[in-house]
Amino acid sequence: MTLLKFILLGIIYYVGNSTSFTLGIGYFTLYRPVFSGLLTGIVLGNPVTGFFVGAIINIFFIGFKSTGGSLKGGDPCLAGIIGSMIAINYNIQGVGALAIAYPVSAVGIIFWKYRLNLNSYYVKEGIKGLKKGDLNSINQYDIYYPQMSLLIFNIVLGGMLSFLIYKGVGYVVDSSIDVVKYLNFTGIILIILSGAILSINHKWKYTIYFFTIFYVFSVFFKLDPYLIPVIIAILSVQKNRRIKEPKNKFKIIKKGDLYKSWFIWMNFTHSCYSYEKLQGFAFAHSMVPIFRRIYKKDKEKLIQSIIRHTDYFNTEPNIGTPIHGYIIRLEEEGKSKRQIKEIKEGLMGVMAGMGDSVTQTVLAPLTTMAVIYGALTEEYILSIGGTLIMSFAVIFLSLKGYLDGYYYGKLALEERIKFSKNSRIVKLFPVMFIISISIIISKALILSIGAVSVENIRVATLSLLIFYFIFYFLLNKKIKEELLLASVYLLGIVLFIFT
Amino acid sequence: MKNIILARVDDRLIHGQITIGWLNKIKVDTIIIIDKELRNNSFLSDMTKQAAPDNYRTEIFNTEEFIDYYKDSTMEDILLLSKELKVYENIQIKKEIFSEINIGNIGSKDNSKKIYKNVHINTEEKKSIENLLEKNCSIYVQMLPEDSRINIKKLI
Repeated sequence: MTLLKFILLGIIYYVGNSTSFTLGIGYFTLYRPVFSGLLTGIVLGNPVTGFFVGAIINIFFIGFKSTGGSLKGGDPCLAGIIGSMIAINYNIQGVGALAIAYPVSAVGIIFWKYRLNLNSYYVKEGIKGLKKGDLNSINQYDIYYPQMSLLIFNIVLGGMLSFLIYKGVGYVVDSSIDVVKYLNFTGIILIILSGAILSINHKWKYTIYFFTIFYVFSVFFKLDPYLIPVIIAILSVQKNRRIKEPKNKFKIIKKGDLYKSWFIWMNFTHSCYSYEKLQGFAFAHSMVPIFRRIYKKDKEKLIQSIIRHTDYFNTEPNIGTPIHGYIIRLEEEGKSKRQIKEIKEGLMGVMAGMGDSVTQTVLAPLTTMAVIYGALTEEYILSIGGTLIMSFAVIFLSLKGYLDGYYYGKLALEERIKFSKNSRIVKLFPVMFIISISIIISKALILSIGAVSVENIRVATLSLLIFYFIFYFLLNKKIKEELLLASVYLLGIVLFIFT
Repeated sequence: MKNIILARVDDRLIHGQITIGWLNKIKVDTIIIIDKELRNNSFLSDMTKQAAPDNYRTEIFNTEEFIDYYKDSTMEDILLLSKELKVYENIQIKKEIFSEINIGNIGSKDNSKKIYKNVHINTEEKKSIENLLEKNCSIYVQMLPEDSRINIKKLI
């Protein structure tokens, strides 16, 4: 490993962690271990292994969600990079890499709060600049400074962590104890624990039965890898419902302005995300092309209007876009500041609660599972398909929201609620999810369990179900996840000694 | 009997932290929002009710309506949401209903001071906190069920 490679790993960490410049797609793709693992694999000259290890690690992170500035557990992107790097360098199995990558990735989360605090400072400075009449200030403080800081910080943090882990793991691997075997044991139990955690957090009463049935099924029968993803994809297809009311006509604003506004919003929703304002600064930024058109000749009014929109704002960035369209329309119509503020604040929570329960809760896990399954079975078309569907959904939902919000106003918002609540895939999600994840976990364990030198892979995989039931039972008794996670690392030692 | 499982202060009322955070950890029958402005805005209250998660009754009240509702004797577990501490203060002065209040998110306003990551309070809100504490109601900051509770006394 050369210095350049560590720096490149740091850059991958920045790209995934930033989620900016990707039209909102990065958060659902590059931020996830399966993708950061693949990118790491490409840099280190072994994309196949990187992708596979990333997929194994991603199983553990499949339930990852972040709502309104909250972030818990480990940093998925960092886990993928670290795991993939040690797997490739030391020829360690995916599960073993997971056992190291998971605790290390918690370091990434520690710095999340400093990032949000630093951004608070940038927002303040940005608004100061605006007040002085400098319109360029919003570009500088919403994009340039926060992204430059993040780039430098993530190269240093990602690069250094990679280096330390690289050296540390190298040292223990060379020692006489068979540490790799211990790591593999621990990783295998971690995967089965994640099955139990996902089952318990899943609000559906038949979860445990479905999980068991499909887990056992997939141990004994070879399933066509395309079957289930294709069924899910077909079930997800939904008619593009058009609103049949007359469209609002463009008066001052041009259609291109809506596109420009959408483009800024989608690229920079979380570029300067801060505790004080959350997405407030990004919202104001997205209004720049709009106010440039409306107040072409009145620079003072232009700047005042932008400052007015820097208020605290947060919503689901893709489902929530009818808010933007509608607000733009109200601004064009010259509605009162008070009225606009009330609507904006009233709608952000509404769309966030509903949006998060669609994109983060349903779409992202389903498409990521397709990517993971593709990586495990080496059917890469599945992975590409999952990625394309997620990317298309993000672009389509956000752009349609923007335009419909402008064209149809309140109707567009109601339509979006109906769409989110009644779509078939949202209703079928509990079943689809548990079937898919049990098959994936089963597959991942079959592929990994050979590493701990057992004779009969099928029997060994089946016997792991015992751990699933024990963990499920303990979680049901309100034993904390953290405690179970720690005990898995101890359990690894026990298994290691007695086998 | 009305049983208040969680009484929370949150700028954004029902949002992601509620729908995919709290509602997965606590068991309630009804979500009640106490907010006079929302109550009087038919479009926004309509949207809020439509978008609220299924399987729960959702009500939007002003303070008086809530107190009346609370008197009703049917058994019910409630998640209570309001944007302002003041709302809880006003209720508690009339009738000591709350034993504890959760602060989720209070965004920054002019003249507000940051006391925790996502909690900003001004002098008026500080007064409300003091009054609530005096009226036998403990207050803690906790964004999500997995987070640890932080007693407000440690922050102000």
